[in-house]
Amino acid sequence: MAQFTQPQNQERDLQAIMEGYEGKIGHKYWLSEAFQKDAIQNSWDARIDNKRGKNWSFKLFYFSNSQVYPSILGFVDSGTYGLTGIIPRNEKEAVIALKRKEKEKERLAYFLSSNWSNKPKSAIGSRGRGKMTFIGASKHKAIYFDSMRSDDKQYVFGRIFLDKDKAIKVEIDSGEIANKKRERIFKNVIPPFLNSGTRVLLFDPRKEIIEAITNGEIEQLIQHTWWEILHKYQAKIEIEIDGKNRLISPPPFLPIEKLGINEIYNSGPIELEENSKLRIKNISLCYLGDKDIPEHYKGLAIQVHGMVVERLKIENLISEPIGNKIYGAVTFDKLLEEKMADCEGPEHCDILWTRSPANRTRNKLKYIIRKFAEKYKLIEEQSTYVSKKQRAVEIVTQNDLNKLAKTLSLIGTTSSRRTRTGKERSAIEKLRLSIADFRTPYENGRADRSQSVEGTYVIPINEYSTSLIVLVKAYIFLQKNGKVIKYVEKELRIPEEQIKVGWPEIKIDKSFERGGYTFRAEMRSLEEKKISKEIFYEKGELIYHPVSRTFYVEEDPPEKGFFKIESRATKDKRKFIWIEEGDKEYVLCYNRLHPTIDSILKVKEWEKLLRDLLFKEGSYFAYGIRLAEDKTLIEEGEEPLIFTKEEMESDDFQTLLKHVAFRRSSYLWDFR
Amino acid sequence: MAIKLKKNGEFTYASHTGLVSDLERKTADRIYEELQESIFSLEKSLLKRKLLTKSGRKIDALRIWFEFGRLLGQVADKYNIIGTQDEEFFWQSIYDHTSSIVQKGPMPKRSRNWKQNHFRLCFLMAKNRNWENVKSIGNWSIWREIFDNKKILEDERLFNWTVDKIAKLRKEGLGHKKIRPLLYEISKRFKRIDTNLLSEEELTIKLQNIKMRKYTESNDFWEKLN
Repeated sequence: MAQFTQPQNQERDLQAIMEGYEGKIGHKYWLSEAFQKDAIQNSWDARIDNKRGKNWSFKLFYFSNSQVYPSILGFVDSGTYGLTGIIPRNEKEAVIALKRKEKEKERLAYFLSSNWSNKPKSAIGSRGRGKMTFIGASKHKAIYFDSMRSDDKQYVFGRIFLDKDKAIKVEIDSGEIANKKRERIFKNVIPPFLNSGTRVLLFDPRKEIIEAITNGEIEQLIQHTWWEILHKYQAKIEIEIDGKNRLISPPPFLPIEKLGINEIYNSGPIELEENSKLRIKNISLCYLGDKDIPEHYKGLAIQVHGMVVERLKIENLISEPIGNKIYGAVTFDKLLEEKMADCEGPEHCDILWTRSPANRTRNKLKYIIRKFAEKYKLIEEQSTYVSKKQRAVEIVTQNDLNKLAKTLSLIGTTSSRRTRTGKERSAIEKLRLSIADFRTPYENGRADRSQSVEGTYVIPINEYSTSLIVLVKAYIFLQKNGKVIKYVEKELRIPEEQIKVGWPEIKIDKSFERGGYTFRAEMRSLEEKKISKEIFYEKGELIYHPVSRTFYVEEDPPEKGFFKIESRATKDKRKFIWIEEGDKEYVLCYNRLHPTIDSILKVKEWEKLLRDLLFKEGSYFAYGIRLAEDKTLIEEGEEPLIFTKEEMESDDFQTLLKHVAFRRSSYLWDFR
Repeated sequence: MAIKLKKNGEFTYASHTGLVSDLERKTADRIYEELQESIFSLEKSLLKRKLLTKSGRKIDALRIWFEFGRLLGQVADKYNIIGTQDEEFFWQSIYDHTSSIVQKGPMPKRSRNWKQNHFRLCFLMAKNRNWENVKSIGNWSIWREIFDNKKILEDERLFNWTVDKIAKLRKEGLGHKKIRPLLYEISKRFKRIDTNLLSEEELTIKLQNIKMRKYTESNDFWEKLN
């Protein structure tokens, strides 16, 4: 049987990778950007001082045509490990090295191979395709490399090139032969290494890259990509053009404090979810007022391991034109940073935002940026005062939408599902507390001054044939500090004394400060008694899990559902009913000034019309969000919850919209 | 009774009744001054004895907290604060007096529940115990382990019984790690029971029954306990 490796046209592969970069970066100097990003990234990942990059340096150099040589582009680093590990003599030995357990030591083998990467997920470049940009930057599709290795102090020199058979080939030598080869090819143009490090060189770079080097653009590109390590670790990055050195200084725009502007914000640590270990380290934002933000700094820089992976356009994040006047950066704590690195696109130029936790991170970013924009009054639209009646309509609709969200298993922008621990309470337990008559003036639990909360009592119920002496405690406390404002306890023999314990009515007077209150009651046995074959109560034992109800004085309860509804007023014609990311929920906003809503509010039966409109529009968003989340689940290899894989096969917007509309229609059919 | 403390950077007189008479205000001022002076002196003495460094490093955390507990107990007893409805404000106010070398940053989250207030726990530790008794239980981390069990703190009798039991076991060479199962067992036994409703005798019987139950399982550790 004949068996051989499938012949590959690696020229095409190379072309596809380069096109990938061009498409992702999308500006004139895309090649220079990709080149510097991959070169510095590889070098920074190989630094010996893993924490602060002490003694690390990187130099990008360019020698223009001379009479003897064609032009040379290259880069060299120090304070790095160099290309360590096995020095393979053939493909087989290279594969052996690639398969070794101690991946991180086999730097040379990984450098020589394609689509293999030895870097842990925590490193920036972990896909093994960065070096293709070096080959792609050369007109001859070839690079030379040399390295002084930190492990065995050996010197290696070699070449990676695209040959006539469209395959990428490798040549490598070590020791004295390597030295001689370098001298023969490069004469005295490049000096030998004194310490460990790596150098990559190529003849006749493409003109796009030469232009960026000679006109200074490359310096800008390096500054805006590597500002964090330039600033934080004083990383030494240099550019040498025909023997003249220039040290890259940290840019004046980041970190934002450098500009000395007052309109800045630093969030500090933010948990992605309540009690989550995934944390955003800091979101820094700056509003530049009437000044323009330089092109390279526009947007929110997403920092992963010291490098800007992507700049998110802020005007898109908050759907407000003022977004182009805000810029900043976001950094992550170690754990989230690693997870974000997993969400990077293969070119390390973007984040796949549909993936988790990138999607939840983006929601958090949207919320924080909107708050920042609101703080500095950069958004014209404003929350509007709504009458109590209108608020009541909003609350009812909100509840309807949250019921729908529940059936769709939607759980808010950042919150994770809460699971109840401990013994479950059953409504049919024979010994229990009934709290059935509790009522607040508003459906959502709000009570304003001069109103009353009714039925703040419990009735102990014993349906066993044996009587029991119990202690029932009932109390009301202020949630913010736990201060008990009313307390009562009664010793009762039940079922003989099944009486109300508590207060039939609580009048909300001036003594009630604004905030949330809890009415709670518990029942304990006051004797050691066997009341059935299986049940024995000890003295002091809790018979029934404490029951409680909450009410809110002069304020709405905190939003716990998936949706919250807010009225806005803006003359922005694009805005009728739309969705915004809240801190823990989605905010369904409706524009009071939109002619459709304005006319509804003027008619007699406005309450019903507004409720119908908000619910129907909101249900579209609910299904849309579900669709997006189901797509994420599929990407992560899990089963979608509502939409089928078949429904999501197509990326065609019209088809997807049709499925959303169909699903929504089925729900509305059975609703009410 | 009222307690003077700082709220949002301003002095206030806290009382569960919400009303503070002139006399109560004067007493609260006196308590405040006394706490101010005595805590300052204690911190100075701790520094001098090198139990505490200027950077806030606690060379002997147990000794430091024991001395705080004893001192605060003396003040609390003098003004009959313990057991009143304003006791929680007293413990809260201690954070107004401690310097940053003892307490870095604002009041920790846990201390907001006054029964878990760090200084109240120090007071409980030092109450009716001399330094030798406290030391015999073990270092601060063992005490911390005891304080982490809310159930045990709910009833002072339960707390004292637990501490006495640990002291006995420590004498027999029981290590730190084996104390945790004991604490767990006590918390679990009384998880659904309000021991404050039990008489002294009823509580003692229940505590003895824990031992019996475990003893019959021939657990080495519990054999030692008996």
